[in-house]
Amino acid sequence: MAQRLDNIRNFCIIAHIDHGKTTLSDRVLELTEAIDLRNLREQTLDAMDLERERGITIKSHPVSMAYTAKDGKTYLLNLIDTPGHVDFNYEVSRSMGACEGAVLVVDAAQGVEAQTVANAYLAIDNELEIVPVLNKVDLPGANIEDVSHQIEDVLGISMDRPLLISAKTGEGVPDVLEAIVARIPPPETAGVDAPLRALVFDSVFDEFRGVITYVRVVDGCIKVGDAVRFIGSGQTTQLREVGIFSPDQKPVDVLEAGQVGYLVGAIKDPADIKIGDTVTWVKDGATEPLPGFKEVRPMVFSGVYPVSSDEFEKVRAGLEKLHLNDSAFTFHAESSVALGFGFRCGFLGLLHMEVVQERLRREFDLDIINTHPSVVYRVLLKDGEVLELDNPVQLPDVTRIEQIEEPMIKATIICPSECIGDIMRIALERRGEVKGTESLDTRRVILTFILPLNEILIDFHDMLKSVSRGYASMDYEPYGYQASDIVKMDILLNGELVDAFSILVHRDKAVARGRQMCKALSESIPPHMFKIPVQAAIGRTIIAREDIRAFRKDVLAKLYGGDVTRKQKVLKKQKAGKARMKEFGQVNVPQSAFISVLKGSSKDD
Amino acid sequence: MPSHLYIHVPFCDGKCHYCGFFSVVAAPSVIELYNTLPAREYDCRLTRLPELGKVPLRTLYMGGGTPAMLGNDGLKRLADALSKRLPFDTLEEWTVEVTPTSASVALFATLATIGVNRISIGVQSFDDTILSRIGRRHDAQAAITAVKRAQDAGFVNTGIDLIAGLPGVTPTLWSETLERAISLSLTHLSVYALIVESGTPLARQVEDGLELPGDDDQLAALAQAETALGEAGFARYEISNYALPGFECRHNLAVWRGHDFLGLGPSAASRVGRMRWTNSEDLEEYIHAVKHDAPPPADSTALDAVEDAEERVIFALRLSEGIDLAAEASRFPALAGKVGVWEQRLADLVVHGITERVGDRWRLTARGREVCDAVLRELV
Ligand SMILES: Nc1nc2c(ncn2[C@@H]2O[C@H](COP(=O)(O)OP(=O)(O)OP(=O)(O)O)[C@@H](O)[C@H]2O)c(=O)[nH]1
Ligand code: SF4
Ligand SMILES: [Mg+2]
Repeated sequence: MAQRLDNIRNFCIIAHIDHGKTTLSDRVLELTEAIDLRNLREQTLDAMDLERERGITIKSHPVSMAYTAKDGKTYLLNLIDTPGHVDFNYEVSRSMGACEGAVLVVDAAQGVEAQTVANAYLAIDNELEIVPVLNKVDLPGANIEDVSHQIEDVLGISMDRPLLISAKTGEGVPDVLEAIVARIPPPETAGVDAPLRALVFDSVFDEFRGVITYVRVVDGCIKVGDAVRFIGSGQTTQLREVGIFSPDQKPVDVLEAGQVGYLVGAIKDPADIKIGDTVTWVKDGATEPLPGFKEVRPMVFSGVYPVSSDEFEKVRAGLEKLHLNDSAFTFHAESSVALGFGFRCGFLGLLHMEVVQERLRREFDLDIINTHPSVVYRVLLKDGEVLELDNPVQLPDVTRIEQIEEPMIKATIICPSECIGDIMRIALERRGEVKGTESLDTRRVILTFILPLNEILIDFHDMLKSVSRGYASMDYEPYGYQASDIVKMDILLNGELVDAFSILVHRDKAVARGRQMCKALSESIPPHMFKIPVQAAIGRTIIAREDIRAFRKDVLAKLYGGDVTRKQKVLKKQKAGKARMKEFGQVNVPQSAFISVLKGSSKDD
Repeated sequence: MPSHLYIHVPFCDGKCHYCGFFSVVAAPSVIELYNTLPAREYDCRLTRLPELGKVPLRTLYMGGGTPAMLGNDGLKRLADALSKRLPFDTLEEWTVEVTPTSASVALFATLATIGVNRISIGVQSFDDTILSRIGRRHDAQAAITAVKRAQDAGFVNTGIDLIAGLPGVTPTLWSETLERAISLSLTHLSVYALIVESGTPLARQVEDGLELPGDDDQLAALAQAETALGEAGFARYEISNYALPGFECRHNLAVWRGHDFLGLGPSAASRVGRMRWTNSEDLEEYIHAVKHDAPPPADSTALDAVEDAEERVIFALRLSEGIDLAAEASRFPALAGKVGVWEQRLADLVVHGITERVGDRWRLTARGREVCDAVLRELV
């Protein structure tokens, strides 16, 4: 028989980016005195440097606290602050697996945004009790009435008992705590004595202690010294430490059903832990695992190469270390004629890519080049074989290809009504298809598009923000694959094909992209002693061309006895300078040219 | 003894604005002190490199600076000192550089007496305004007189130097300059594009905004020279050198063809076997060392067999005769691994109109001569 753990509440805080989740968490920590006031800083839970610097949450942060409610009882509150950005959506859905309720924060000045909708629906799918909160009511632009209507109309969440707060000033926050206790159901369990079942919702890596597994105990209890088994992977280990987050990790003797905490065993390799797995005892354990999570798969790919080839191993070490804490990205070694040895990495989205690359640069002091982001194409061969390509170089000969499919996304864009025209135009230019328009209220609309993922990789977000003057927000989710007229475009230097520059591109976009690449190359390859045609081609058809003019002269006026050896030295030195270039068809291509063409910059189109 | 000997006389009566050679304006007493020191430097070198004495002397080139600054007596004494060490009977060519300011009748008489058979006169321009602007200390007439005196003294093999692309020289003026040169019955002409050497007054003028002709204008001036001189029978046998057939400068040809040469005097460079050295540009130290029978301070390196051979071979691309790679490969076994690559590199440039193969030899085309250094860079 299920049993209720009446004095426990597990909830996450969800919202659109910047609507104030982490700030609200600060206030909650303060009110419950879960943290020494002296240690409280702004956005306390955003512990990572990059999070603090960018003012965004990247990882979910659990924290446990005791709260004495107005009814006189003391409750254990397990709060999980989540990231708002779409790329880190998987963090939110995992966190939800450890909760019965979600506090949905909505900025009262901005109203419902794309991730508000996405996260609210995610909570509904996870059958969480949603406690809507209107934040930032201190702002002059706060529009409580309209935003309340949006929440009711769009999300179907009742605003009968409105919680109006300012996470900044703390106004209204005590009511949020009361509402959590009153409205969010306590966890249910088969019993503290039942066979252990704990859901793994995250893991981090600690240099000294090895893998630290974050769990929500559903049934039974876990003690230090227990021998446990991961039902899915079959891994077993003896627990050396169990603890809670307060908010730093704090060892306790036992974690009981309903609690959120962490486990430290003897597992050294995070790859051995699967998020969504169930932990149970080795002896007399449960057999039925808890429902896990949908596996996240990287959507955006980019090559990461050391600027100097002797740093390859350092890059590998860095990626391995980062991967210990962020299993959502993937990497495998690859080599490029142009860039040498490096890694192809898969990310959940562009921000995720930026974050990982930035951490590599910063935390490991690496000089890296990251190539233009790309997607995974699915290539159906005539013989029935199906290839998944994340690198155009691997594309088989066209005669063997039946069809190429590209990944699609379903994008939900919320924007002011007056931007509809512009946003439709951008989406159509990017081969998007309108799926629906729905009004959010009198001033805003929700647009739904099906778009190729490839088309939003470059500057879609920037365009969206610029045509809407910052008022549009977007959320997206994978939407399968679609056959598409994808072609391989090659770049020829002085008539010779340079495979490192080959890309897969939609036929309609090839000319524009070809022109842009030829231009970028012609601007970054220094003049040679002869004219160099830079051409973009599909098969044998040239679709774009730029010429690099020859330099006019390069000759020493006079050369006599004394000059010869000196001259040879000078030539050698100049030649050594050129050695850092790669040669293709008599053309010396400096690294900067590769960077200008391959680099994942957001505004180079 | 070396086959090819260069003697540097580091004195001038002033300093031209563009000049990057090592020369100083010195007191007569210092010049006096210098006088026969190059001969004594030869002694020092010979004790250290006995192979220097094993081949007969074929060419001697006295440059500077201004060799005439030694005075007629000084020149005689130096020649005497040298001939005691290096018999002149095998000498095929003995060049002395002469400036119009020093070109007296007596000077040429002296040069003829001591055995000089080739005169090279630094003229640079035949326009008085230009001459004074670049810091020359003579006018056009002095230059013409100098040529005449040399020829009157019996020097059939007389040549001059001209600078192409001097600021202010229009195509018309340049054409007049070339015509004037052609009218002088010369056997040899060196035509250089102006180079701005760092640290010279010219370099400072350029920094202060003096505008030099652009690449196109410079190349046009050089092409104009090639055409005009060509019509007059002068062949462009090296990038900046023209001669009537048979009057090519043998000394310099030896350098370009990769033979050994010994240079004496401050700033002079030498190539002997794998050794390369360049005496430092310090007159005081030079005098001090050589007076004490010590070799003067020099920057020296020993090249490995490949570098050595490479240097000796590739600069011949500056010559119109070009390079016979197969012949060079047998001359320098160290090049075994290189000639194939060179062959390929040079062949790749044919389609671009930069190189051409004539019989067994690779040569630069007219366009190739404009980008000679870029071609050489492909080879080093
Ligand atoms: N005026 C006002 N500003 C607030 C309030 N709550 C949060 N902010 C500000 O809003 C910004 C975003 O707050 P965060 O708490 O980092 O938002 P978040 O939802 O955690 O953001 P992500 O984790 O990046 O999704 C910060 O500059 C806060 O200071 C509020 O009640 N009033
Ligand atoms: S005369 Fe010759 S060496 Fe002397 S300063 Fe002029 S250019 Fe230089
Ligand atoms: Mg946050």
